[in-house]
Amino acid sequence: MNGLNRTVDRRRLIKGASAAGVGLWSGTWFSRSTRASQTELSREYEGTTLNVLMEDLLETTLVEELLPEFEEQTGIKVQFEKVVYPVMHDKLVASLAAGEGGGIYDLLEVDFYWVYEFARAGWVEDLGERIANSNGAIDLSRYTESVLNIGSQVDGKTYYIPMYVYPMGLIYRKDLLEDQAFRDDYQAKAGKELALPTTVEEYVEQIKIIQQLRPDELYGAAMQGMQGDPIVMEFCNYLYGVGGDFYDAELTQPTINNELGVKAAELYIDAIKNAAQPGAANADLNDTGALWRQGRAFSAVSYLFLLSDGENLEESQVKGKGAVTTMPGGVGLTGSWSWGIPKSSPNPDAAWEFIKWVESPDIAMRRALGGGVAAQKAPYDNPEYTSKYPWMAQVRDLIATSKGLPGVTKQATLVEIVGRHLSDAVAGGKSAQEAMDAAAEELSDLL
Amino acid sequence: MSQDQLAGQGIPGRVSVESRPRETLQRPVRRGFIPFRIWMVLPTIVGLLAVVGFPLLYALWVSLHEYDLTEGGIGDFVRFENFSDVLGMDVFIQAAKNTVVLTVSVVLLELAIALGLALLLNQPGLRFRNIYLAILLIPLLVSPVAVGLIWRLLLHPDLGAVNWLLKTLGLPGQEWLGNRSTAMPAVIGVDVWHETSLLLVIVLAGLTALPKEPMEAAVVDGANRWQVFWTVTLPLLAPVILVAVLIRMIAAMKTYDLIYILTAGGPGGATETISFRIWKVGFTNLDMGRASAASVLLLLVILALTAILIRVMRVEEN
Repeated sequence: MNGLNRTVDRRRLIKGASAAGVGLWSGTWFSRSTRASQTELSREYEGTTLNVLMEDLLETTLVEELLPEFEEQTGIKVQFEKVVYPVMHDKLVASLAAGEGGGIYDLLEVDFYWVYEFARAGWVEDLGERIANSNGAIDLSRYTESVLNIGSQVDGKTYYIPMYVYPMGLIYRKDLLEDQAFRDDYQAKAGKELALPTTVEEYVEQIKIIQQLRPDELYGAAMQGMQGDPIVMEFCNYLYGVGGDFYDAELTQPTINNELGVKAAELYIDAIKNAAQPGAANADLNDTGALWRQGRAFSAVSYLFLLSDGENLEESQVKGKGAVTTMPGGVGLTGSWSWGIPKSSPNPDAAWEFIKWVESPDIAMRRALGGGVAAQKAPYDNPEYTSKYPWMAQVRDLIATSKGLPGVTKQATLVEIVGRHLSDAVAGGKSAQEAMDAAAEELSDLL
Repeated sequence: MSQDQLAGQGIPGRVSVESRPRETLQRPVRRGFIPFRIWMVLPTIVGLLAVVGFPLLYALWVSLHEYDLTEGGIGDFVRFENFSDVLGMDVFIQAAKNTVVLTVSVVLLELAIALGLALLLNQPGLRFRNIYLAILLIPLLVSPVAVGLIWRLLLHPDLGAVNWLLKTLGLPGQEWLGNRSTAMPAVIGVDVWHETSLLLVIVLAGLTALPKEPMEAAVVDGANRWQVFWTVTLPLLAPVILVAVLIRMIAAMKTYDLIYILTAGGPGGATETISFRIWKVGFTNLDMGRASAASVLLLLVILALTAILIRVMRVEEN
């Protein structure tokens, strides 16, 4: 995802949620901070310092707050180097390519579309043996299967332990959906009742009508059509929603230019031209977030934190007015971050102790209650979690019904290719069919 | 009078170089002895070789090999295959065209504006010159990333000041960065806003340093202001302009950060430059062979343009 802009928003979220969420969390859970973790940890690596490159956002802050407990239990010092997303990949690649033991980072935080690349390049450890010998400290059954598929396992081996997820879904204005006057206006224009759409076609048709109800005041959708990551992350939901995919199931050939792929592209282009805010063709998450918080968009196919920002940030005009549901068509995209141990790690065993601690049920629960989107199942069964963050009740469904990117090694390249051609089609340089054909031609080189 | 005669007659108090005994000019050189002056420049030479020479040679070497970072180290020697791949890819050709458009546009516009502003600021007796100069230099002090973020907001179709101004004047707003026809002009405009100050500083320094006598002589001979500028000032300023154009041209051909922030190369690659594409190939695709080949090609183009410009300028001078 476009981390630069995402980080700006997430930083604000940190401030907002720090006040709203972390404050509560501190009151409720920080009193337990002296409680020993249930996971047995070794002091064998006392005096070691772990260097970890982390994205500068809420989930990192949540872990950082708890680090003194880990340091007290193990004697291992943990040093987070917090950076914005765009520089992470470049820095990690430089360190990972250094060879065994020669890297800078002891532990990795890995975005879901580096998962295949790092594993197949042989840069990260297969954690299977460590998991088997962990006496249940790391138990993969604690995680949703789709999360393991997206951010943990490659070619049948477990290279990563999920950290948190960032699911996408249909975020909409619940208050408007229930507002009788708005419903009447919609019905007068559309000739049918306003209801949550069940297909992508219905959704696009609906937001096009809503766009006409209050011109310049309320847009049908806040969209992010900027070339690269923003447009592709959004488009994935349209593609998966109509039943399409980038490749066939066996990854033998691209299918993005088949009937479903072209249909998804046409719907996406139709939506961005006729149902979105001006400038949507170059907008990113920062723009859509601002628009959503101003209450000027009826909907957005976006990340969950668009909704949580709307609930938490002080200046938001849509507090208590938003809701999230699964992508029309039933399948959307979910991203995730995971922990991995690089082969270039100078301290791989100490890094494993950290993973055991940070992913222990107790710490995972406390991170979730601080506002993180849990990768483990347990928090979603905790009423405290779902009452404090009501939208989290939907997240389990979002995660369960969603999928990641296809299992090609260079997923970042896939995003770059599709983003370039789709952006061209949105800007009128190509038709949807031409754009998908051109993308398919380049995507075949990634197999 | 020959040199020898001059040396023999000599001016009192001076000793001709030729008349000095040779041994006082040159110390005896022992075999294996490295003069002190060589020792003094050696660290610089070693440093330059390490930080410029080695990376250049390494990039050249990598460009001749298959080198995908995910494949584990440098692969087969592929001769010039990476170069032919790069030159045969539509996306590179598009990026090259964009780079040429961007470079030519920004260099010409910035030079014209900087020259005009420098002439205005160089007017004798101009009051508040330093204040004007300080204001004009502000964009130069802002980092490209900040410039990109500021202008992204200013050019925002819905919330931006530019469209607000247009609408206030009764003109239609534009989707500046999201439209194929306006994205590159918008990027050029932002670059001109940011970088003109650099050329202004260089050209103004050149103007200030010009001798006044030729201009005064031209005025005495009856030349008007335009003739003085065109036939005296501009030719005298030509070497300074050459340096300024070279500096800007090289920097413009490497434009990356502004593109990254403003458009990410979009829409549909309409603003993607060679440097941006090289970064994509190197750090997104992890294909160091092709990225290095493209870098070498970019370097060759810059070197060729630099040589041509210098040659043209020398011909002009002659």
